[in-house]
Amino acid sequence: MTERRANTPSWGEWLKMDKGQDRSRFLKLYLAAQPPLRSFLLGILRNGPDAEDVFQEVSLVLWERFGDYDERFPFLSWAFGIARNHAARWRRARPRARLWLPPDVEEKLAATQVELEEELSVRRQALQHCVQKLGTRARELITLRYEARRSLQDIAQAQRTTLNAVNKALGKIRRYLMDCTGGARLEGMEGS
Amino acid sequence: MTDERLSELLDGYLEDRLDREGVDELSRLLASDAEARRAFVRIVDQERSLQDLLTSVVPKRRPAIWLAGGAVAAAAAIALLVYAISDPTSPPPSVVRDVPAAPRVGPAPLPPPQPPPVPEPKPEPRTPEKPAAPTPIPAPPPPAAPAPAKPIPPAAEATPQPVEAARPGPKPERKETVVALAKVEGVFGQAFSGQIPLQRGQEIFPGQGVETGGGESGAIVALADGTRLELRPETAVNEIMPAGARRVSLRQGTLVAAVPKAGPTMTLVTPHAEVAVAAAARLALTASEGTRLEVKEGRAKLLRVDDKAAVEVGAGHYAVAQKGVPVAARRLTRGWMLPEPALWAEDFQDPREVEKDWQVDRGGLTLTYQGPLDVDLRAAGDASLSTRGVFGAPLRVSVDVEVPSRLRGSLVALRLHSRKDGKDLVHCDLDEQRYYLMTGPDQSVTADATRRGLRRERWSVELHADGSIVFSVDGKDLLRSKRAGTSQDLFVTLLVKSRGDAPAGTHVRFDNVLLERIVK
Repeated sequence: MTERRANTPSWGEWLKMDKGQDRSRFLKLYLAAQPPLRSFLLGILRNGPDAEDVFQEVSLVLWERFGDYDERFPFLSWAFGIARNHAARWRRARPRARLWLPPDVEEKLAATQVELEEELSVRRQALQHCVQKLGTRARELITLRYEARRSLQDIAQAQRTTLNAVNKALGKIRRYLMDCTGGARLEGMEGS
Repeated sequence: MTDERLSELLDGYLEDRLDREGVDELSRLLASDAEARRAFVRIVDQERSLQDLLTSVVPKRRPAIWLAGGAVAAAAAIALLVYAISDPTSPPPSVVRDVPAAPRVGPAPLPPPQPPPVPEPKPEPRTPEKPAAPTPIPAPPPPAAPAPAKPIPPAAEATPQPVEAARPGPKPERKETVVALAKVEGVFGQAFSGQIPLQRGQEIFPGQGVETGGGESGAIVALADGTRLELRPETAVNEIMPAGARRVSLRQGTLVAAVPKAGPTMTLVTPHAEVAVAAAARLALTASEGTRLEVKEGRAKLLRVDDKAAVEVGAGHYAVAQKGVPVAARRLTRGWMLPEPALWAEDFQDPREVEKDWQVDRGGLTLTYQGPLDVDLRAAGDASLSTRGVFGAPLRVSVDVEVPSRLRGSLVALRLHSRKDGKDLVHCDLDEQRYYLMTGPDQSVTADATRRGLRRERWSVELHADGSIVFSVDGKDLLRSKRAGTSQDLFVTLLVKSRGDAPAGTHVRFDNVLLERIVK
């Protein structure tokens, strides 16, 4: 009720109190960092839902600790540091869940993700078009795998084939898409 | 290490099918070979992008208050928010905005790349010794529940419908029309929509939710039909007007709604009740273990979901939908929803509510607030209760005060302070011998306290728009004063000072606090 807010500061004052400028700046940086951050977490945790859970925790911490961020350094590197800490904490809570990559490898992968971000950004943009270029069976396969989230075993059963065959087919699709989006990247470079 | 072996390892890693040796082999490779690391990062990024592209929501959600939405929805919401930030003069909620259909990942796609020849994976046939039973393909699971923050409907192109591989070039971008149904008018402390901090001016789209944090957090949302919703701290509104229905879903917390008479019945839904508002009304709805409806103006009908028991609740009344509690309208005796000209009241019946609305400082004294506010004068100290809310003059504050036969060495006071500068504006005090009205350092008037014996009296202090102040006891003007100007950020303090030499069993009690707007 408005009477309860009779001493409410003006919006401008709220902006200052809430670090509104920081908020706007944060959103811009966070928006750009979101895809690589989520990919990095998927890479080291391997399981999509787990990676998303950790990503949500990381997002909250990034927001809460944005005041600590030193602008002399890339936001992405700072965010990856926090993401690695949270991923490590997540794994400590589930010591037998999976086989993990060693920390030194994780660190190198984080650096590589930062290094490749520009290229990856172009690839992401091209991916949708490349998916549309897939043949019917390939599209059916990735729909089952990524949209319906079927296990390889389920897909093999549904398509009356072997697990190994499904795995190989998915591998081929990945390679095709990689080549396809890479072609887009080369085009983009030539055009620039 | 061949490329083929690297591919095998990466595929195995992505599908979580590598054994310890496989993971060790991949780890060694990634540690020593920069190109392998690049291949790893590329394929994982593509995997994640594919998941985003082919799914509408992330399947698993956390219940965290500001992280209820999925990342995909969050990306869309962030994009929307960034749009809103870039356009502080964004139009009112009724404005129709054209949103270009975009893929769910990243910005609009580049011009069509020139891919290599399209492969058609040919699954290896089953071996004859394992004839396959013709298992029908089970239908894909239904899509997960829509994320709370999903302002922009996903583009149709993002769903992998069968598309002819030879179709040249990308389809032209299709425009989708999204109607904003509400707009954020104010944000206090922490407030979010999905994962995104809420901003003033931000538009709310069909089905989108809003949540507030703790403390003094809150948000004010104006709907396109003129309804204003105020979300109190720790409140979660699941969705606002889904699909254009005049309906708001409150999951938890308190929602204050000012509903104009416009169109069909407004329905407010909680886990325990449905509240129908057919005409203009102002009400508060709280959802916790049950649902409590308080009506300040107009009428509303409360329906308990479990057994369909219903009651009409009029202005100045409340009703509760909770197991074991009769569904009936009762008169309000505390809170913010008493009818005008009342602003707020306190009956000291519910300690939890008292602590929500008052800052309690025991100051060395024993005090209780279940029934009247009771202060034991046996110890020495200063005890006070101060309203957390603030009020603006012209204003009348009334309270029942019960004092012992002799206030030896003690002081009882009703005071008004300005929150902004912390100054005491008005003191209405009583000691052993006199009443005092102080309105400034050198502005004090007094009157003898002639009555003897235990007494209960009704104190009122009026702050008028012209700065005049009147202190009344039991309806009779006792003291008058005047000060320059009035304040709009006043809070009320009930204060007891004790020297600790009162006889055992000596108490001061306050009850039935009422704050009213002074109407000429």
